Amino acid sequence: MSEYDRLKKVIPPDQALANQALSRSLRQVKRITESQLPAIANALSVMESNSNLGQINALDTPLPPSVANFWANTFATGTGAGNAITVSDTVGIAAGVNVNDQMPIVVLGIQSLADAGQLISLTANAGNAMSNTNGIYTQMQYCLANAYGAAPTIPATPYFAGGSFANIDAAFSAANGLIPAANTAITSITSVNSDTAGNVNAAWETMAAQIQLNQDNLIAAGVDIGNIVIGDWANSNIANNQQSVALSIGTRLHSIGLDISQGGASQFFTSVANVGNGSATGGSVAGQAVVASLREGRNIKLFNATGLGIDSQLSDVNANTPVANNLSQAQYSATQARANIII
Amino acid sequence: MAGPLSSVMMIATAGLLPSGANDPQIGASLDVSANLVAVLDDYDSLPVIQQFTEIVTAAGGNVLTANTLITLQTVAANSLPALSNAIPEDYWGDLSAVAPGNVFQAYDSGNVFVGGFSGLISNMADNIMGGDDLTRFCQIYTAAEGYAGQANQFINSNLNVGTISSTFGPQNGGMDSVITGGFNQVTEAFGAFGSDLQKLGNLINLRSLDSLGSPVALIKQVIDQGGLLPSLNNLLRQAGLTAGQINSLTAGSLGGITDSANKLLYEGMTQITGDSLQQICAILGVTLPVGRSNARAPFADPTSTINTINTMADLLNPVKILPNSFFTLTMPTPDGLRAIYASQSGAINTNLEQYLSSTVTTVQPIESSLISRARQDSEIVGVSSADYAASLQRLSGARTN
Repeated sequence: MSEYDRLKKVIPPDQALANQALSRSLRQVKRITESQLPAIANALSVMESNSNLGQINALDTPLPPSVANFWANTFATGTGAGNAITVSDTVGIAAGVNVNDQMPIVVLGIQSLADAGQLISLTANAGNAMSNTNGIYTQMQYCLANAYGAAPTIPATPYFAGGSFANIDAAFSAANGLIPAANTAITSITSVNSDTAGNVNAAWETMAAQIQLNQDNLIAAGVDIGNIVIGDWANSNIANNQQSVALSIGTRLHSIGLDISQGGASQFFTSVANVGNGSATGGSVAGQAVVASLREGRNIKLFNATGLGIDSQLSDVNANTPVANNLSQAQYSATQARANIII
Repeated sequence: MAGPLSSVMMIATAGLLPSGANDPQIGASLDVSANLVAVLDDYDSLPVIQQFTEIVTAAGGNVLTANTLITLQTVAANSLPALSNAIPEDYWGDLSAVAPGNVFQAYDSGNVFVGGFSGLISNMADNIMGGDDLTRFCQIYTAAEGYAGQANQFINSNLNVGTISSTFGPQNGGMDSVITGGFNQVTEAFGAFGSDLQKLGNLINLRSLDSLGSPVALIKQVIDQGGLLPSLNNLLRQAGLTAGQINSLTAGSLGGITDSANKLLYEGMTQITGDSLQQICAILGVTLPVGRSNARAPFADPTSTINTINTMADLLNPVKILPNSFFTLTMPTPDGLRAIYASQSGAINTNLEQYLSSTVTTVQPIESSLISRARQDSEIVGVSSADYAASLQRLSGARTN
């Protein structure tokens, strides 16, 4: 039996129905049981609705698909949870994100190709410009060093057909020149060593993608990364020697330490802190102090949670600064107060 | 008195400032990842890469034409770019901001190669860290952090909208429900409803809304606010409550009261008028006009159309206690919001019974019921044509108020 069924036996049925209907309505209000009626009454008196906003009232979803797609496709490009943008997505390249782990793959791959003799078509060097066993890169070096003359005649090798050219530029750029030959040779290396080449290319593209991610997010953040990359500070929108923003970062080191998410602020600052090898002589004391500050921030959180104290924060001597004497502070004296009383 | 900064924060921050970083006793706080420098050195030191770098360096200074130099720097860009330190061809367009023209910008006036793809990584990392001025890094980081923080609010909200979607719909008033915290499901006449509630003081206990309308709940509310009055004590005894039940009630329990006893309480309430009623209303903070006898209040504003509270039982009647807004009240149903009262005269919308009673078994969706009746009659039983029109408007989401 429902509350209404019971109540209509107790009070007039129409009132029972009205009360139970009203009860159901009120119970839809979020956290209403935590409030008091007078407080709700005052709030409702001035509460606003979507009156006269026909298109808003006509919405059948809180976010139309087109709007949801806009936010998802335009902004949700990061590597964090739900494609949120992380610190690494904006400046991670400086911490070596997606480079420190990928570049060794490249180095290992190229070393293995070299060790297997797969790069001789490029790098072989008989020590003589006219040798017919030199690699293409080696012939390029000889050519630029004028070893083949101003109108180069370059000997044929297993990797290059050789020929005579009007000038050094033509020796490189002609259809039968050194650059096309290098492209052909590398294509062959890639084909013969497809597994290694695939691994190297995947790592290379991962690094390129990281650069692109940082580039795009910094542009979105309004940072003139184009000029910054080449160090053209004068034409960038980043000013020199801005102490206030450095002080701001410094005062936030504790909170930065609390962001321990993958790709987050603490991970980034730890990677770029100038700690050296962590010894007493490596890096700088300031760099090691950055990491210490991050750790200290996390400890303070722990101590606060456990109710324990920590004395790391320095005493504020300004608390003892004398109070100025010209603040126009005033109170009635007892005599003045008595004089103000009407008998 | 403790300040907010610790000693290590002060050391670290000194190393962010040019004056501090230049002091060898302090040094620079931040620098490009040492691991990054190491892995880039490993790559640049590969013999084949060293050889190619020497080629491009020698080709600068107008030895080769600009076009040929560019072609040289893109050797193998579409096959194995790591063998020529080239930007992958797929990224030429994507990296146009940091590597314009698909290759490296001429960083000096001599159009000289500066290090290929690994040089781009190195330059980008070095200069994100501010070059020789860490305050530049602080500006870049602050801008990036601010952007990410703002964008993530939208990204996360976009993900979390599903939580709202599960309860969003015309049944509960759509966006009005979102921005009013659900109060739109009670009424949309917030001003009138709020004004009515302001006159009710603490009449309704929001913690026990399921007992709204119950006489014993009202008595308990009076007891909670002002203790057990003699008039209520008499009422409880006349209703047959035992001393134990009364003690339980005063201790805060609503249980153990039978429906028949509750009905007796209600009947007793109809007899509580005059000074006793005034006293109860004062305890509850109810400021509605109260009659001194079982009649309209002789001292009420004669021009007022507000009904007077004549007996304690009136405090259970929404028409009496919400005189300016009762006819705007609605209830959420599976078919949408429905009027609690069929008209401003106070006639109840009996269609709601199907949603509240466990004994009503024939449930016809109220809207289809209304439509079928409307086709037969110009006036629906218990529902005025105006209310019917308003109901239809709500279903279509075309509210005009």
